[in-house]
Amino acid sequence: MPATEKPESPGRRDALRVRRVLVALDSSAACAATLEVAAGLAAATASELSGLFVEDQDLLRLAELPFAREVQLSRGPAGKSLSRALDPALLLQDLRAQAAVAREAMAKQAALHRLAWSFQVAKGRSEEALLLAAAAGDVIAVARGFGPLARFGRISREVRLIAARAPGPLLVAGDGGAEQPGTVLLPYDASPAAEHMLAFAAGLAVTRRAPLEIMLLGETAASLEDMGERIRAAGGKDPLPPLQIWIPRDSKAALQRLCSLDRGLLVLPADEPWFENGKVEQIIERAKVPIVLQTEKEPAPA
Amino acid sequence: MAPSPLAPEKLYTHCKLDGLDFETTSELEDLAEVIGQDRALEAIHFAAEIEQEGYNLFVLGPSGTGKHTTVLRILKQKAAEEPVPPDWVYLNNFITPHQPKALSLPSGLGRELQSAMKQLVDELRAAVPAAFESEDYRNRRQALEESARERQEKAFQVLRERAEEKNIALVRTPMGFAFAPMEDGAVMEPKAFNALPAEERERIQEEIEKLQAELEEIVKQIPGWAKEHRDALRELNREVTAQTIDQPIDKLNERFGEIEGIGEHLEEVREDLLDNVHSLLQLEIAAQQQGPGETAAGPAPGPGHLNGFKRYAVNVVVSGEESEGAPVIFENNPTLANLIGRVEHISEMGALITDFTLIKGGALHRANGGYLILDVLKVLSQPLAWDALKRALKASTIRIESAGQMMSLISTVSLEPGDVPLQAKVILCGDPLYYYLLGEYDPEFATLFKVAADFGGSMDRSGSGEALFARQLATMVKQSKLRPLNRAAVARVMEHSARLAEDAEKLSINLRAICDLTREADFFAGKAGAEVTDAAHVQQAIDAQIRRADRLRERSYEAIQRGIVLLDTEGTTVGQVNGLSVLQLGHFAFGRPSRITASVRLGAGKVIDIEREVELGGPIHSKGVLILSSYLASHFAGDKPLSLAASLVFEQSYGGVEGDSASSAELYALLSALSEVPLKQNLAVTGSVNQNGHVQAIGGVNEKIEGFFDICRERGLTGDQGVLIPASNVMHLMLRQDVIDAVAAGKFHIYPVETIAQGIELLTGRPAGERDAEGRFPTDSVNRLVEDRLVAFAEARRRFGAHDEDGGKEGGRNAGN
Repeated sequence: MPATEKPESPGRRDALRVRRVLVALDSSAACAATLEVAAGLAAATASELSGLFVEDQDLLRLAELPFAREVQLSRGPAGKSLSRALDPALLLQDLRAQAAVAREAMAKQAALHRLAWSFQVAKGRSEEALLLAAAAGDVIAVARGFGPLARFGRISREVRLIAARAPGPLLVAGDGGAEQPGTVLLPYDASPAAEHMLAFAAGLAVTRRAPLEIMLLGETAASLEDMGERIRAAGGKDPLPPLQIWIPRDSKAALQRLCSLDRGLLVLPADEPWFENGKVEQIIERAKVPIVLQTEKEPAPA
Repeated sequence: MAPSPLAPEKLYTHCKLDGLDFETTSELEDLAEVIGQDRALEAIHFAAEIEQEGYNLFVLGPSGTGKHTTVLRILKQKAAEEPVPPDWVYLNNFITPHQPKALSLPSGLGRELQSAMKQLVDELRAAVPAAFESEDYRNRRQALEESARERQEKAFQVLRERAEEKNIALVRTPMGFAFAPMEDGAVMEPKAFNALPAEERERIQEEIEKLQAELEEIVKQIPGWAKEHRDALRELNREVTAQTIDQPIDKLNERFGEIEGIGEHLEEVREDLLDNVHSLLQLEIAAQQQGPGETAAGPAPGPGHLNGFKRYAVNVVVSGEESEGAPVIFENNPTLANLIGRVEHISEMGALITDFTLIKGGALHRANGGYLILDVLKVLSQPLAWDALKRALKASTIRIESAGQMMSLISTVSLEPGDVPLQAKVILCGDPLYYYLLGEYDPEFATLFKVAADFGGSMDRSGSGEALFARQLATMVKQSKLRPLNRAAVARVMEHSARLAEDAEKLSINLRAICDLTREADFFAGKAGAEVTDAAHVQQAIDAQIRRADRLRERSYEAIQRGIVLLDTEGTTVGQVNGLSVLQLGHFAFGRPSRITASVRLGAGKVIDIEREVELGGPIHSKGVLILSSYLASHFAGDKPLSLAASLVFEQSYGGVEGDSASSAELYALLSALSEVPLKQNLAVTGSVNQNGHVQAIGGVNEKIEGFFDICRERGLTGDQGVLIPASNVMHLMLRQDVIDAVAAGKFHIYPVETIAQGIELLTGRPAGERDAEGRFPTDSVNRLVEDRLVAFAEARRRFGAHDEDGGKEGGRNAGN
């Protein structure tokens, strides 16, 4: 059958039909980096950039507690105490200042990429407010360790939870500074999820003019030639970027490659069978580059 | 006794053609040395060879005598045998960037070092990023990053887990962290907390306080961990950089390390590269991405502090790469900056900035190890240049300082470049006036310019003088690629040269004027289609020179001929004589006859110089007039007070009179006025006089004679017209041919006068008169008449005095009554 008649191969524009990139913001460095990656994605998908700043319910509750104190990271003049009493008014003042800084950063990125943009402030628990604000066609962008109760190291559970409940892919970024341009890497096992993300990854590679690397997993090696053809079709009229399709010798090698990519973007269809047995968690914890995570499965309860 | 007029052969000294044993100048050998300047040449050789401080040279002499050319030629010959001096470079000072280092390298190595450093930087531009892109570096850096992150995260994680065990959450706040009791995976509501039993609330509060204390301890450690992380990263960067740069720097050290100062500089370069090469490359990439016209954000660098790889460059200010021998530099525009060098600035973001690569050497740098020739007037007329030159010579160092810095006029950041030791001979060329003025008014001058090469303006014509002159002329003709001159032409040029020297026994060695005449004669020869320049072409050139310059002379003579300016050339008049003066207009001079008159009356012995009274007379002229009073007082009625009042004036003179060449004429007018014996107006007079009545030599004798001759010729020569000149000026006569012809025909006469007595006899036709044994002048002699008049004045004055005295006594008596 001619390649043009393959209805199962979604075109780049279909695959990249992203309405909005919704980025969760605060004034932390991680959020600034996430905003930068999100803005790049919005530009690549010609979508709107929307910022959401959440006045978190847990923080407001904390401030109302009679003994609430905050240990500050930024040190004052010598001899000044690191901690201060926290009350609701002070917290709200801090949050609003944080929101203003986030809004300004948002405007700057939007101007840089010439994007339509919006910014909103919500109240509630961070994850819930974010998911509530998201709609079909949205890509949600969060920093690693999103929300006031986020852990420092083991973040994969929270990330997977948001990704599973999100209406679209979840962009996780914000660790190790701004994104470095580089390869778009997709692990592919011919599952429906992988198939959908293949077009997404190809489209991103074309618009970002970045090399596309497809790592064939499981029994997909036979379809190597066909894969190239379909990717070309997905690219539409635009010239294809350098394409590398390869088969890892074993799971360990595959995992190593996914965790060691230090420039570019990782597109992760996490519901692929290959990712079971904690592999997806490992990748989320160890990855050095932003991840576009697509999953519908919630993690098992802790 | 009055002197006889001069014979025509005394009026012009011809060049003897039989003494010139060649047909044309092409047969003559070139002269290696300039003629007639033996003394100056010896001085130049002496100054060039003596190796002592302060033995710099001042070449003085009239312009056109070949000072520059001669000095340049001699020094170039000497310099060619001397070694090429070392190169000088300016290098960045990594410790105090605003004080760049000056280093010397063997000749030619300056450019090599410059090229080698450029190559090193180019290599590093490729090699360093490659090293920092290597997997090894990235892994090690990643390991460091992760280790630092894990260290921090672990500390927080441990605390978090301990808190969670007690159902307490570590909460991120906008400014830091806090602890809060948990309920159902969220922060406990305040209402729920308040509903807890008091003991439970206290327990939670205590637990939280302990955790907060631990958190504070962790937070306090964060800056220390960050510093450790930065140090570890810096060390890693230095290690990776060292692997890249050590080999090329070692190669440079092998090549240049033994040169004094270079080894240390390369070590400083290495240290700086280790710390900065990575960030320099990032800055460079950022600048490239921003594009031209933009600069990376951040404060402007301080003076000499360079942000880029420029800091490793080599600024070669002096290179002897293509030189042979020591340098001989002639700086035609010796401004302060052109002499001692300058620090240039460039505009960046509206500010003027500079660095060591913008240091430019001056003439002293280029001449270091050799010779620097300067025109003294140009040095003196440039602000601060003379002081800077003296400072450099005195300290034997070149220090680059701008005028703005010296006078604290500008506040732009600038540099203090290191001093360069100076070993150069400085040669100043200029007019003798400047040499004597500097010697008088600048106490440092004599210690810095100990040798003077004094170029004369003329040379002896006798002996081998004419032959040498002919060879000099031949050399000039060949150098200027002119037609050869035949013997007659050479003779005519030589005679003209004697005229320029104002001395029949001398030849002017104003080579510029001679060369110009030769070129112009060549032009006329060319127009005539001649292959050889002849005497007629030379004469044509002389006539054309005069024609081009004599418009004012014509106007002046025309005014006399039309009676606007009064001048008699026949008849006799009491107290009136024709004086002669010279007007110098640029290079052209002409004689201008003037009427001088004298009037006398009873007075107190004062001769009034009207020119001086109205400040039109110069001091030398006034001196001449004062000598007249002295002459009268000493020659006449010595036992009586000089009781006359006399006035002397240059009639119709409006431009000022200077010099004493008219003093004899003024004396003749005065004697005539006193004696009331008329003077012949067909004669004109020139010559100064001393108080003994001797007539002394003056300048411009030829022009003066020709001036009066021209007026007489226009009016028609009567045969009794002529000029009285000092006898000591006869040797200076080089008169025009038409004057000589008129003298030969007996139509014009030139009288050589030695004393006033001779002159007055010629002018009055009466004997001057000498005192007899009784001390009296003969009756009717001019002197007798003068003395009688002076005695009469004295008597009259005495009578006036007695009358005044009587009047006084009477007055006294009246007063007494």
